[in-house]
Amino acid sequence: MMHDNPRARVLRSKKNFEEHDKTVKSALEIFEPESILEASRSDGDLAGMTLLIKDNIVQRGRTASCSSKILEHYKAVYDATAITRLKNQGALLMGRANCDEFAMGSSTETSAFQLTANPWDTSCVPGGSSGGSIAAVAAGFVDCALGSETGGSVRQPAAFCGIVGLKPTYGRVSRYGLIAYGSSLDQIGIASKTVRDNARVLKVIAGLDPLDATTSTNPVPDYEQKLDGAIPQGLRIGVIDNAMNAEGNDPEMVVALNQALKRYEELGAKIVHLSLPTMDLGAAVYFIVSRAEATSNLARFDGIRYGSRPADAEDLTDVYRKTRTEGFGPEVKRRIMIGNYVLSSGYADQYYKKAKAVQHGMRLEFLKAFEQVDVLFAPVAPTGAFKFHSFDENRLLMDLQDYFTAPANLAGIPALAIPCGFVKNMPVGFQLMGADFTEDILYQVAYAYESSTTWHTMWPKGFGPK
Amino acid sequence: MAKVDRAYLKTLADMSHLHFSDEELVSLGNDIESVLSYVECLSQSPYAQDMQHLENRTDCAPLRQDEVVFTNPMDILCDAPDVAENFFIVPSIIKHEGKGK
Repeated sequence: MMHDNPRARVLRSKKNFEEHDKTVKSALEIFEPESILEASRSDGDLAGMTLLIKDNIVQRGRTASCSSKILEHYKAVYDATAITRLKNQGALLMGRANCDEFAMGSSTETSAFQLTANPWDTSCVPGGSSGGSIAAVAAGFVDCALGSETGGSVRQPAAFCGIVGLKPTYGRVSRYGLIAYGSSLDQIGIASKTVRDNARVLKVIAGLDPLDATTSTNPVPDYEQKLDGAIPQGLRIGVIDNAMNAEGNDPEMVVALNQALKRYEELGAKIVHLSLPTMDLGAAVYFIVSRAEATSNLARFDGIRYGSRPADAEDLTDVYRKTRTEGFGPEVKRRIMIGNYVLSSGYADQYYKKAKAVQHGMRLEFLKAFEQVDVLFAPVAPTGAFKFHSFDENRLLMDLQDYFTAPANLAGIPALAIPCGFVKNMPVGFQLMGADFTEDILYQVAYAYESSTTWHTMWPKGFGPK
Repeated sequence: MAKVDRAYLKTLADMSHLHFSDEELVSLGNDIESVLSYVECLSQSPYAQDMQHLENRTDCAPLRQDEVVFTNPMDILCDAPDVAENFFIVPSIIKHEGKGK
């Protein structure tokens, strides 16, 4: 199908969105076919591959709203580096994906514009914050999607929707053009139906970028090369026992994860049980570090250079206050306030510096674990997808969706979510974490599992590529 | 249980250039208290007091050359709410007596 001409693929994807996205609401906008075709080369490594782009990654000439009213009419004046690279390799960028406002949330419910549904059960959330990107892939509207990760925003929805989601090593993919939330944690992530497609996209978007000083000089390997269905010789998988046995985990999900481990044993892997005590503090560290950085990053939205300006503002301070009060939603405001609190005089040592110290310890603990094992295995989230508004009355419980995912962001290491079955008719997944720049190993190990299962061939009822 | 002083919260709201109603401030205070109570678990970590690495960073990102890159001013200004020629219009900072703006 990938060999069909690009125009036919764009038209088919657009038709699929038009006919079936009414119930899912994954996209904020699908572009006109001619403009999609004109924006990309007609050949290249990803020629004909359709993608949806999370609305916090800028595409020249297109709106980039971050699903926020404050940027509702903001038109990007440049392409993110990842977007430039996709276009140069013939990828077809279909439109903009809904997400939690400024990527802050775990259900895509904080979007100012619409609620995205999980294609497996439209009364459930797709997860978040990259819920639109992930739901579009899970429904078969596009081949792949870009999302972003600060604390698990690609892996958690990928697990909820039964697809593959990558959080690359910090510095593997340029953040130029990714509208910042927590700059020391943010990475563009990839959602795909299969491990191979994920690897193909990473090969294109990864690598050094003069426009992002935190990108690595580490060479980009051919991630597809090792995808032969075998696991690396003598592979040691470290099962993080304290994560597998964590309070609140759905026992049926743990059974599905243990079955995946059994499959790895059959494939020849050695299973090693270990404990990473600091991982249990990941959510707490993340709550502080991400909110502190968000406060700083979102200070720029003040109604002077972008956004609409309130007509009744009296002076400059009033412009700032009214623009931000009217433009940001409740979750964003909450995170800005928490960030300012933990950074404020008298509290910075008690909260921010302590969190940074524990973050450092967490990375040391991960590095030590990778002396014993090649990859780490853990749940992605405590349960499968939940119903809309489940956590309206308890924001902390919603925030704890990041419990198993945030540690990889805090340690800067790569992590990959892979579907491993269904619990109560909803998809569940596990995650593999690796040492810095071992995405090639994660893909190889994930592909071996995928090749020996059929989860990646299943589609939600009424959905799928047309 | 962490307690957040509501008057201090109002100061933080001003610093954040955000306005909250009294009712919103109460709810926000409760949310922040529950987060601050949760993060108290960090004190248990053996790493919590190890601040040395924070002061001795050697892994900082390299600085790039400070080079001027030509950008079309209209590209920068096209999203601005108010412009004149090649400039952003900024509301007045000092109030003129009797004029309001």
